Amino acid sequence: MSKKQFVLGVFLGLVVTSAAYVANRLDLFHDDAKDYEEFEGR
Amino acid sequence: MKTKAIMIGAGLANMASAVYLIQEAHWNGDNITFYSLDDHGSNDGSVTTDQTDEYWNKNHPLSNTKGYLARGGRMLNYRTYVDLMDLLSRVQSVTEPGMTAAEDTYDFDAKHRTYDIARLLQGGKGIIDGGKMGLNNEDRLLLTKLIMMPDREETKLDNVSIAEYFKDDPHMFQTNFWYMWETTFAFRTKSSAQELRRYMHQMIYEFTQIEHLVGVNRTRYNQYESIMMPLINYLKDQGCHIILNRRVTDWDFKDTTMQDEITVTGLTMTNTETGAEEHVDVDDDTAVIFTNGSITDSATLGDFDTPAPENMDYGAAASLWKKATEHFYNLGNPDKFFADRDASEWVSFTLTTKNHVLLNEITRITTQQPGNALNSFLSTTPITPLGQVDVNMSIVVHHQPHFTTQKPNETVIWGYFLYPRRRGEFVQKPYIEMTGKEMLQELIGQLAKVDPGPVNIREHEDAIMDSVVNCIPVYMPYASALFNNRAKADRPKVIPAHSTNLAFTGEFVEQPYQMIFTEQSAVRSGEIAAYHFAGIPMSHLVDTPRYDKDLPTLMRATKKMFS
Ligand SMILES: Cc1cc2nc3c(=O)[nH]c(=O)nc-3n(C[C@H](O)[C@H](O)[C@H](O)COP(=O)(O)OP(=O)(O)OC[C@H]3O[C@@H](n4cnc5c(N)ncnc54)[C@H](O)[C@@H]3O)c2cc1C
Repeated sequence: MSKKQFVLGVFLGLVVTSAAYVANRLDLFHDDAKDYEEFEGR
Repeated sequence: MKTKAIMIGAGLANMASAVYLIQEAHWNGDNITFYSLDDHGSNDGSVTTDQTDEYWNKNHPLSNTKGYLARGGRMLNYRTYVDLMDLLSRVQSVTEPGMTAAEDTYDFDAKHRTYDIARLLQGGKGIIDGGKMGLNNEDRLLLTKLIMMPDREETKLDNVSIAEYFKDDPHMFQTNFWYMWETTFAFRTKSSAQELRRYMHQMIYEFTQIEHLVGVNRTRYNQYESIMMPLINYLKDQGCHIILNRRVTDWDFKDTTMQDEITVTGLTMTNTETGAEEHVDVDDDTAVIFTNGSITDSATLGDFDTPAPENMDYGAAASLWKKATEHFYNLGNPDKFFADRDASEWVSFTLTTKNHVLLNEITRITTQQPGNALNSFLSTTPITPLGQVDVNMSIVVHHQPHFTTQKPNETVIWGYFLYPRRRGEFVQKPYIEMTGKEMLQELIGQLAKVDPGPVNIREHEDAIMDSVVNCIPVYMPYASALFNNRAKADRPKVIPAHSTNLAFTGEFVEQPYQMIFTEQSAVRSGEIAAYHFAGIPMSHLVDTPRYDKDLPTLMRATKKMFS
């Protein structure tokens, strides 16, 4: 692996990790409908 | 599932609930009965005489009952008020033949778009460019933390006030962002940081355009005529029973061995016209839908020569809520909201004049047409406990007429003081002690300070005073109570655990994601209660847009933070 590929790999890794972090913080994949299940169950 | 409902409170939330029960669950309107002090709750608007005899005012007769009264100047936001607009699309406008109440509002709003160009004004500077938010890096960091905090972590802000959240960053309270945010939404520094987080999420779209309020939509007339009347007429046509002048004072609950099953079996109420006590049995088929807090409960009126008196009543809604919490542990803590007036109170005023002299002066000074603005006047000297400058007062100049019976020569203007114990700049007393006349003198003083001339508004002061029909000050001890510092568990869920027939609606309930102090959240709570008791899946609720998860919106908000 060339040095260039290594740096690119690290860079991509950082981008993916931060994107995943932001997605998690913003609850991007959360299904809002689930929040209402408790009302239905009662 | 239930087949009948008793509504405690006839405000927007419970009326919404009734509409959904009739239209979505196909209930007969005759099976729905409201008991309430009045039929508008916080959403009022009428000639003054319609409200002087109401429960909270009848012991404080006014010498001048002329003019109009609306305790609030309301702003809607289509983008996020999806349940409210859905509700309004189900009932007919009372002023525009052939239109639903929603079409009426869309039509009016499309022809009268909000574009505020004098959001902030300050003596010596005139109109300030609110587009420059004035945030520093610490402010940005703390705001970003709020925006990045997901719903599931919200309890981290339990019992954290806004003042505490920004305690190491007093600069925040000296920014244009804060001056605009606090006065647009009525946040005080003692308010809940948890609620501020919800606003930063649900209103993130508006964050990017806060200085022009372009996201603000308005109804054609005041809220009573444009929103409540269509609902009342519809519900009455459907056969609902709306019984007013009743204060519901106590509950009968079913006795169970575990003592946690919440089943209402009866209600005690006072007929406020006769003073007689009445009792209503609640059977197994009946749902009880209760608006457990009202921000206009205990609100009192003054007039041009009389300040609004202080009424120390805990409020009809909150008193009954408190009674329920004495029986069950999972129904929240009403004292958090109703035992700290210092955090919740404000005063507003409705000014009626018989000509347009003042209106024209405001138009000249603010350079904008009536109906487009919320103008906030910043102090020129420190007025906060932190020794900082802050907003003294704000006004909303409605599109005229704001009432269907208003004459063409009349003007109605609304204004408010978020901190009523602060002292006036031109009348040397706290705002709360001011008569309507003194509030108008304060307003003229503030306008004179920012007047670009050449002829200062002061020159017209006599003519303005002569034009006054009335100016009604209103003291609302609980106006911002819904924002009071709280923990998530301090509000009951719309359907509390172990409840068989009791639901809570309005602005003092816990429901996912919704920010409060909005007609939107009131309607949604009523919709949830209706769907629950009718057995309609919650997936049928109106879809809530999530701009806080929309990356382009977030990017725009980030950019805005650096303006
Ligand atoms: C000054 C002001 C400005 C506002 N500005 C805006 C705005 O810009 N945008 C916006 O979206 N919203 C605004 N609102 C909020 C809006 O008016 C409320 O969201 C809405 O009216 C809440 O409806 P509700 O049904 O929950 O409660 P309410 O309207 O308060 O109605 C509840 C009613 O039930 C009655 N009740 C409860 N318990 C009992 C009992 N035990 N016995 C008898 N009666 C009882 C209460 O007395 C009250 O009349 C404003 C409100 C005010 C006061």
